[in-house]
Amino acid sequence: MMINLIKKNVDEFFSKKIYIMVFVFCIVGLNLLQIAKVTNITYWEFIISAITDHYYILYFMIIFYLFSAFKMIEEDNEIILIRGKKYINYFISQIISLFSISTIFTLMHFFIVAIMGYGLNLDNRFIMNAYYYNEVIGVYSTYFKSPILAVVILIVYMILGLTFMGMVLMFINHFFGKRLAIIGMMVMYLLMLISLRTNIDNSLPLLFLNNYIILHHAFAVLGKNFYIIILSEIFLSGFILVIVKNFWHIDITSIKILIRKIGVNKWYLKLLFSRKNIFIMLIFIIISIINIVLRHGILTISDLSILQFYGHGIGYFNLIDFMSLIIYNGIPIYILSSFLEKEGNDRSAFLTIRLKNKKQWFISVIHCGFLLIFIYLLASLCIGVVTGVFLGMKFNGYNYMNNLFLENGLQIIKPYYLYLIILTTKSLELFFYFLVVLICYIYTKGCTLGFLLVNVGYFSYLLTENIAKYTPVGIGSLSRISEFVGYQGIPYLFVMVILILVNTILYLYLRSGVYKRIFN
Amino acid sequence: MKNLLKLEWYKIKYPYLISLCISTLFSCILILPFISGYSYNHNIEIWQQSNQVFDLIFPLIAVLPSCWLMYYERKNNFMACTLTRVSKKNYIISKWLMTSMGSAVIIFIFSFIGLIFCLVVTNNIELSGIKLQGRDTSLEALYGYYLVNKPYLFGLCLSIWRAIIGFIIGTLGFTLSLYVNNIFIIMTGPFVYVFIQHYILAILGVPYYSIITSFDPSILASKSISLERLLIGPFLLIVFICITIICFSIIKKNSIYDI
Repeated sequence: MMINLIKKNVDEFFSKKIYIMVFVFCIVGLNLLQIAKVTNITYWEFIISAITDHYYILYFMIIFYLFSAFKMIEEDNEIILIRGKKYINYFISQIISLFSISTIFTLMHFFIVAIMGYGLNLDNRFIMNAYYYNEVIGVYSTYFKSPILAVVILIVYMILGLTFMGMVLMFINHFFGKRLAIIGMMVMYLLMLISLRTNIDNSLPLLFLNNYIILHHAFAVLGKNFYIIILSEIFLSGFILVIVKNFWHIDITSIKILIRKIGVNKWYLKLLFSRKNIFIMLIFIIISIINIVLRHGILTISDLSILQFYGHGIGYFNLIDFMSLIIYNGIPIYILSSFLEKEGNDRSAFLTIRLKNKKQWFISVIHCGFLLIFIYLLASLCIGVVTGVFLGMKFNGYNYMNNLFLENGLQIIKPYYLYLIILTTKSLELFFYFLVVLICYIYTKGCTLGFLLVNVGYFSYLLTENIAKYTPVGIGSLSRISEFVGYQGIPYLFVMVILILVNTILYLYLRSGVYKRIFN
Repeated sequence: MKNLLKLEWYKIKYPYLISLCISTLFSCILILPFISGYSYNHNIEIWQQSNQVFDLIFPLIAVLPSCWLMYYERKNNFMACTLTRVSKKNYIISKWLMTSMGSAVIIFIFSFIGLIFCLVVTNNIELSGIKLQGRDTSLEALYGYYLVNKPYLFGLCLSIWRAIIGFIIGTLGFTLSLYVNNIFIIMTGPFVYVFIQHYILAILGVPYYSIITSFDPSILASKSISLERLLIGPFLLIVFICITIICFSIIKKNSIYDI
């Protein structure tokens, strides 16, 4: 049975579309061959340079591999499952088919280049002049005595890496469902691209899968200790096998951590995360990022994140900054307000009956509101980071903000602390606005007043400096926190105390029974 | 038609008058904190400076007092009752005139009374701007001669121009209230439009085309202001209104008379 399954999988993988891969790789290979002829490198060095061309691997080979293998990864055919007697047998035969697919796939690359390079110098040694043209060969020459050895090891390494990647996806697919497997695949791929463009993977080399597939990336991050990656590969595979063997029958897909199935959460989330709302949020996040990138010179990713949440400080007036602050804060509040308004219009007696008690309505609204705010923040951070990566920004340190820190005589803030500050202050600030809108909604049965109150709150910027510092409107902006601007702001902890205090008071006030008015 | 307008006026009389009083009072009081702390050449500039607060919120002042009318009449099916008595067109036009004229008048009054209050109160205050700079920079502004020599005429003309913009903003609010079933979007739609339009145009580097600049030309440097540029903001707004009407009535096919 095992052999038949493997045969079937391999056949499916190497269908007609494999010619696309052959075609693309031939073009890449020919291009490299021309360079090889000019630079006079040997046959084996040419093979190394072609197989380890990481742009080809990341931009085409992995995508092709994932797309072709995904059908095999995601299907659990019941008839095949029954024949396997135990689930682990089936899982292992899937892994073996992944392994054979990767082997054939990689060897195909090898043979294509092997045929193509015919006519080059066949010496089995590294020639020094190649390193000026191709650093990668230089890296391999420091670790291996002869190029043939290097070719063999890097092919084995790549086969293991590709198998491992498929295995992780199979694991995710089995326990968390197809949707999460696709998301996981995309995240994996994005992480690989990020790791290619930046040097972030120095700090967490095991997280980035390109280090498992491309040998010289592993050399770059771990040097001589690259065997750590192989060890972790083996260890993780064993872990996955043990988990699958013992717990294969547990179905985690039904436990949804984010969406608690109480009240009318599902309906609310559907209203909130409608296509239109997501579109509006994304458009404005992207506009604000483009605005920042265009207005400032060379930035790092931390700079970009700071500028995204910099907001507007006390004691000066800059119309564009002020407007972008109001718009950035306003968008989730606007979406939430129109959601509440719509909810009020559409709520009928049927819905009220379906709620077990009135409190469930309140919890649902609060829960969904907070979820929207948090996802909005996370999305804007992620989009910022991804745009930064694709614009070739550096990950570590500051460029633009450095002067500002030096001017104010401040310590330079570490990235983790920075993201902690952004997420906590901003989410609490937006949640505060949401609570204000909700209270007004409960009293007036309309959101206009609440939304206006929040916007009128921005007039507190006109007050004298000593009072304006402590008003909770706009306090989540980094330009109001003294870690960033010195004496003009107030310390992070103090900001948190103010925000938590205000939020708790409003929340407890709502919770004490005020929300019941909405049903009168 | 006359009776219809009268009818509409009775409906919105009290909320309208209250908001008129509040906004006028607000515009007068707001003069006071701006008297010190800036350097001025002429008294009228205090009014200009204080008006910058209104630049962002004037759509709210224009729309809030009157635009809710249509929404509620559609919501409780009052509109259906009018069908037998008045022609659809007349009824909607009279409502539109009332709402938009209301917006125009409220903007005209708070703007012009603010100016009179400013000129009367700050009559005795000595201004140091001309001495500091050595020359009168106000003359370089658009219609600077009138700004310096005939402040009342300048203020009157500017207020009338603002009233026209208010009329168009009111029309936008009214258009939204014809088709949208969410009162929140109707009330804040014009405000959000103005805000986002200015933001995007400012990012694109052409803030002088935005409706806020048309409303208050003093917020930008006098070099970048010209009469043609000021006309573009309202023009864009009218285009936007037309697009909204076409979008709702032809593409989405929302009807006014049933909800």
